[in-house]
Amino acid sequence: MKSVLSVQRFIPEIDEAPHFESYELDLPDEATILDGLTYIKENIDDSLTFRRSCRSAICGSCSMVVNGYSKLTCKSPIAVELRRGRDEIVITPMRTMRVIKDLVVDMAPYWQHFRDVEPYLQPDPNKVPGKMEEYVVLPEQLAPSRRDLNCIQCAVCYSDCGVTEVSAEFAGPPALAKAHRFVTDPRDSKRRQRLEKLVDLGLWDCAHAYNCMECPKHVNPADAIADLRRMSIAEGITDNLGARHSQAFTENVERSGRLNESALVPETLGYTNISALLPIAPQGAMMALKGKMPLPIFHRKVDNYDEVKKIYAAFAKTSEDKE
Amino acid sequence: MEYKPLRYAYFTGCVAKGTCPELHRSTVELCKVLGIELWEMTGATCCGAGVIHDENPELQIALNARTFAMAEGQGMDIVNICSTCQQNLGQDAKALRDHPELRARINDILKDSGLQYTGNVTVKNLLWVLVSDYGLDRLAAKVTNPLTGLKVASYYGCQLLRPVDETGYEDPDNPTSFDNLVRALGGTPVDYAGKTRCCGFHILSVNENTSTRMAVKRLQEAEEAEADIMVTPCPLCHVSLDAYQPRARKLHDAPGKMPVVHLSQLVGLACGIDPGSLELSRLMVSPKKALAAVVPA
Repeated sequence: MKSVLSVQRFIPEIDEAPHFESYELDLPDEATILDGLTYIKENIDDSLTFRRSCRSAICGSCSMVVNGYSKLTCKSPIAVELRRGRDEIVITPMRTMRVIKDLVVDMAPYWQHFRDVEPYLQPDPNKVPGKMEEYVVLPEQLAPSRRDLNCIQCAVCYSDCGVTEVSAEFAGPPALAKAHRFVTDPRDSKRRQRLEKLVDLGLWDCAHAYNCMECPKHVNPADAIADLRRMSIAEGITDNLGARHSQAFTENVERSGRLNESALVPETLGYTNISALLPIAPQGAMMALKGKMPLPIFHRKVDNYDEVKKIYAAFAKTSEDKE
Repeated sequence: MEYKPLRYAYFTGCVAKGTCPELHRSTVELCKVLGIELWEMTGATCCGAGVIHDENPELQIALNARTFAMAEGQGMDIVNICSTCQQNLGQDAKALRDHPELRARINDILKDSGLQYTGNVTVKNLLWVLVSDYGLDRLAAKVTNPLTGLKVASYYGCQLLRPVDETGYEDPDNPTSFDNLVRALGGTPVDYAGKTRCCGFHILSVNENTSTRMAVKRLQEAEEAEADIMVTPCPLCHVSLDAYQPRARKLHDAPGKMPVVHLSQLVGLACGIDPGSLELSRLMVSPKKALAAVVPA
């Protein structure tokens, strides 16, 4: 199988800017991107630098960006990329992080986000079993975190996330999935504190782009993030913009069946929160001039609106029953 | 050649009836010209946008099950004009199809209103309907005003493509439908890094700074690829990229102007619908200059 790998090369101490070098390969049909890079290193240019170890999607070392999308390269066949019809397979280092050399990035910020979520069990000291006892955790109690446990820290989702790309503050998908693993652990005693801290670490900054749902280990952090949001509202941690937006949205739709957009912004920020509303007033005025700001009072209800009320009522009843 | 008639339950979504009325109106105009019959679902609720799901997943599924039951009652599939609607309706339709016990639980709530959903509705974005159901050859034959020489940055965005298990119409790492459609209209698609990356809309009211920074990045990526114009299948992307463009550029010191039109507007122009009926004048960044060569004066 013939292929051309176009690989980004860069030594920051020497090169002014990254450049690409192309390598023509002829490898077995089942060869992966990582096989290609290893072949180059062993046979063509031993100065090519990249991380790798297990070649079996266990160690999480060999993540790179392949034709614009982050991949675990040991799990990504060259043939799949060829089928996508590109003349060259372009390989660049992961996004967001500083390049150390060629395809190796400095993952320090990534690990800092992990440390921030305190990725270790913090049991209640009074509930820790004695010396000869064990803490029994049933499989169903660990079910919510089963997927989180598969994470191999490959950083593919971190590199592909549109929010981490522009915001160093956002904890990012993998750290939030790790947080979910401990928030849902029945042995942990810091559930509420963890959820409160997660709000500060960007729980509500996820933009639902779902890039992290292409996880090579099917951790799918976006689901974990949605679940953390749900738990945080249920826990009453609602004094923040994200939770208020979610609650205001749900209540807004309840009133007519359809979102009344012009009302949602002041409902999220608070009608009396002048210092937050004032800076965006010109934006509202510009949109109004273009006929893009319908008056909230002329908002039509959906047909058979009573059916919508019944659905909301059914769920209000379920949550009362739970209490 | 005889074509089988195309009829859909038309789910407008909230934004095409609010902030982007030009999207709804241009969609109706376009479908009239193409002979696609739309039954507007004036009884449908908001899709929940993932936001209701964040607070109460089953409440969102129940609201959408009601919408599906209405379409099912008409024997029609649903067409929508918004990537967020597509993702949420698509995801919830799959959940209801794959999990009979969930469907039974939800149907129990709908029973009170005399509604039942058996799981047989397919949800499609207008882009997919044009490319797959209508067909690009048939569309090309309707083009009276080819977009010759126009460099178009198709903005697939993120939610139309992912999660691939739930909404998968095409390879999210190498989508081609939108660029093929642009070719059928006579335009020239440009390849650019941001075409499948997020516009930031869903955190616009929670973290405006980060959200607008994402939007600016997408605009700049299209500019770097020398696009004349961007086109989006989603009114939420449109709010981020067009309605908020002047503000986003100001916040991040990124001067410039990139016109962004709706999918229905671009196809409508190529099919000879006059710019007035497509309400191009509602766009915040005027596409006039970019379209001067292809729009009849």
